[in-house]
Amino acid sequence: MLDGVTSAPGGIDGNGIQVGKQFAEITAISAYSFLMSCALLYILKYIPGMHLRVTEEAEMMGLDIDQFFDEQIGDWGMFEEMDRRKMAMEISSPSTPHVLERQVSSDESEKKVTTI
Amino acid sequence: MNATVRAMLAAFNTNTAASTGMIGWVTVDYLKYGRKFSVVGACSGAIAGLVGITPAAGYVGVWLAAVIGFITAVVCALVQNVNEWLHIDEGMDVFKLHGIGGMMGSFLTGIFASSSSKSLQPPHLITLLIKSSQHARRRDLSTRWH
Repeated sequence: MLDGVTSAPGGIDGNGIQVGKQFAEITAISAYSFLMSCALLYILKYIPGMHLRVTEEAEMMGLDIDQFFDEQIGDWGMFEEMDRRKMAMEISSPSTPHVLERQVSSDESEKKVTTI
Repeated sequence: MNATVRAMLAAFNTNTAASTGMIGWVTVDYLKYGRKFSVVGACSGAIAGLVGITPAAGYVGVWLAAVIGFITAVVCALVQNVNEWLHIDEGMDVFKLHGIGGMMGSFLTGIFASSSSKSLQPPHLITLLIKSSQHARRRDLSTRWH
């Protein structure tokens, strides 16, 4: 009655029949939404080219990669930062790590050759 | 719903029920998982409280809104495994929070709905206008007929 129009007493005001009415409401709304959802989903299921579920592989792989060209949800900031740092390091000191790796590998192979 | 004290009460009720829902869910988690909380549980509790107070927002006082939010969140936290019971594959807990929470809220509305704050406010301005215009028309008609 706060808006001057509606008066809605419940069980706490001694109007116990309201609880029964609420149960009827819950049942009716649940049944309606269940039946309508079923009907709409069955219609959707039998439209050619539409499915209710994806395949097992797509579920394992993730729907972003399955249906879009990039992955949107997930914490990829760390990996992007690592890629960025790696690229910055390669640009600032060009090809020195590769030379070192080659020297090490050649040394190892020479050692192996000598030991053999 | 128009801009009355009732609308303001609905806003207060919604806020209160969300906070007590969070308290309720976190309490259940605290007792169930050995004195540990979960942030996801707290957020789910707030959602459960909001869902529970939605049917009752305009019909209860603030303290009963707190009770409704708390009870709804506790019930939703206690049926944690409802997706396994029903054998449904649903990752977002939509049925648990919105389905069961909504049923719980509707049920508690039937119990807790109160018209006790009937005299908090005189009738709304539009109601007064309609009544006065009806009165004026009736008077107008009566003068015309006689």
